[in-house]
Amino acid sequence: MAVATAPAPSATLALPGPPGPVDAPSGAGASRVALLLAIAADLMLFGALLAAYFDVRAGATPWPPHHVKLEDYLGGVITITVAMSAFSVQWMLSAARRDDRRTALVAMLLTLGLGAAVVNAQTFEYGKVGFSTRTHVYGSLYHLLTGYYLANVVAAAVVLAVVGVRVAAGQYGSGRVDAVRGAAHLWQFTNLVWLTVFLVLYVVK
Amino acid sequence: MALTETRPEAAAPDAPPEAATPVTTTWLTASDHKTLGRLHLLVAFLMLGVAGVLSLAMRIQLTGKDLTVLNVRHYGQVVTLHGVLGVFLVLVPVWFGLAFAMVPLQIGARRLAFPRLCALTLWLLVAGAVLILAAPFTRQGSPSTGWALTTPIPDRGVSPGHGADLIILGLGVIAVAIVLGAVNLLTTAVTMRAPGLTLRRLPLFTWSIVVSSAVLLLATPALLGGLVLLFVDRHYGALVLDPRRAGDPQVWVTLFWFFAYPALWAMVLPALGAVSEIVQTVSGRGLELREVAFGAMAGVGVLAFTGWGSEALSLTTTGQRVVFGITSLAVLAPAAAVAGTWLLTLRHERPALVSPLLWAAGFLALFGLGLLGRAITALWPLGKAGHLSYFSVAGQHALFFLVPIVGALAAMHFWAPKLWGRHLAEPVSVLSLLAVVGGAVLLVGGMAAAGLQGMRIHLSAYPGHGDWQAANVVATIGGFVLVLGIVLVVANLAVSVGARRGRDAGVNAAWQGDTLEWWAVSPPPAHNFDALPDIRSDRPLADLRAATTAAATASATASSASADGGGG
Repeated sequence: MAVATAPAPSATLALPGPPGPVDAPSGAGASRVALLLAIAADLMLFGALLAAYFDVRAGATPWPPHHVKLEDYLGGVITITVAMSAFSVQWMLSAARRDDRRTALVAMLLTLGLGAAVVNAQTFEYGKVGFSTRTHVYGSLYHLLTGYYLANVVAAAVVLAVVGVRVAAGQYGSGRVDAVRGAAHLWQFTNLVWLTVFLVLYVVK
Repeated sequence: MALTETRPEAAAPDAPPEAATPVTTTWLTASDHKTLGRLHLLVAFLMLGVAGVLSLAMRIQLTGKDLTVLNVRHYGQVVTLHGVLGVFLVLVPVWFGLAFAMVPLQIGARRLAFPRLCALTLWLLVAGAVLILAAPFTRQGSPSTGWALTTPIPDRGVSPGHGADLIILGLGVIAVAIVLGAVNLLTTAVTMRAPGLTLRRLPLFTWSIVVSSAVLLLATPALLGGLVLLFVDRHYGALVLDPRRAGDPQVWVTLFWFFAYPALWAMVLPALGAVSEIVQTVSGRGLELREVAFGAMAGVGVLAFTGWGSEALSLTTTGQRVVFGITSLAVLAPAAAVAGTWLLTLRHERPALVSPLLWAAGFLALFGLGLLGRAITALWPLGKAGHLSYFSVAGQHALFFLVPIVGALAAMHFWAPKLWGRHLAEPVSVLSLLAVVGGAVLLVGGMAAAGLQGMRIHLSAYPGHGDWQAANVVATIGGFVLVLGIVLVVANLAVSVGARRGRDAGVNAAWQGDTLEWWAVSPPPAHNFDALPDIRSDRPLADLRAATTAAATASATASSASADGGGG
């Protein structure tokens, strides 16, 4: 059906170089590009929350309020866990590149396990800090920043699980790795988010 | 989400006729970018109808000094709704619709990078529309704050009713839709281009959509972040925006305008791209200084991120006035430069006065007025033409609403053969153009005049200021003429396309277009193209025509030469 009409396709032969017609593009690499763009948008959202934090921080004294003491060891544990997951997710990517489905699946499960550990540690800290979103504006911003991080971990874990299962099923592999790369980028982005949150809440304060 | 991939649809040689499935099923299950594009346009026109009625109600109210068509509270609610609907549910879907429909065709792709993500964008917009339209039906109605949702919403954790919540949720859903749509369009333009179609050869409309999508991608998350703050402040006891508890309501205002100012420019950009296509096609030559137009559009996108302060801050210090005066002026320059390339292109030609070109001319008139108005407001930010004057309302409506709308209408007349397989009827189209542009000029002219006489924004009555009445009457008449023009456009669409009375798009020569969308038949089939031509410039079809002509001339010369030889 739908034959391209005028001008006549044979006219392409009159152009210098190899003759047409050529096939329509298939969109290779689209998953990774789309995930990188989504990460850019996500980063802007993080920037909006950080801007709110520093704007309020500039106008409030003392900062953090009296009686607020975050447990450094909990932040440290989360940071170490996050650092380990940064390696395990790259391990999954390299296994997918080698078409080593079993290793990729193990690395995916390990990464998800580390992610679950982070969520566990953070929610444990929520119970220990002794303030809530309602207590003071520091409490609101603390929960917003860490909550943003947790939401990202959960979203990245879902993406990673879907991609990991598809690697294990042989749908992604050496021939088609862009979605796996995209998922790994997303995971590393959540790690960078944690690092920033850690710096802001535990180091700079 | 972005991981859903679509297998390239096998081209069904004998697809069952569409009449076999009911239209609701076709719409609900649509993943074809052209169908989804048309559905976005449908949403935009429906919401334009609602926003138009609300705007006319306000205009009628302002015709007299002290009319009470709406009481003060209702007037404020209508101000909020008409703005929210006009930007988020008219401008956004109208450009998403045209972009989803045209970008794959312009770059020689068979589909969008993520067809089902496009469907998700549409249905999220619809869900957002439902949430926002439900707001006025709550007990306290929608908030009376204007579309920026300023005081008292961020000032108090206390809820003034669920109307504000519904608008916050609706805008949140729409913000997600905008981000997903921008990701989809950018990914399509980056990964789905035909072989040979380098970035520099991108059609001007697709380029404007790339810039506009990039702006929306980076600006919209600020809105989303702000909406999250509003919502947790209102419902989870957070204090970020509460000044009594060391919070700062200015955080919301700044985040909103950090989004809104560039986003409004992102609605102007596709109009610049579409009109560039029209000028290039109608003139039958490449756009003069094409690289300048390309760079200028990118410049608008970058500079648009610098001007938010003029709207968000009260400009109390000289420093603020100088910095944001300069940034709001700076973005006007590249925008004007794009229009300059059109004039240069048309300088040598006597182009056929077809309806798309006439619409482009009307666009140019409004665009000039809009740029002028914004320049005046930027130069005198505190005076009678400043940011709180009715003059600035006129300038905003001219540049950030009427210009994108008229640009979109121009684009729809130009691409009607691709969108619907028909041309729109020319006489009606010219008539509607005159009404739309004439009405728009009267409307913004009247509003600007009232502003220069001292009228401020968000007034619902002006007892004791009789001298503002004449200007307001002119503006109201303009508003009615404008609405009449839009009704004519819709009627033209309904009759030309719905009743199949318009000129048949027939052969593809429509306007002798040079870009790839004119290589597909009209209307394009589900897979758009069977095969693509060889692409060696930004105007592949012009190359083809030149090659065909050259080949014909060569063979004619050869045959006449051989005839001469036979005679001698």
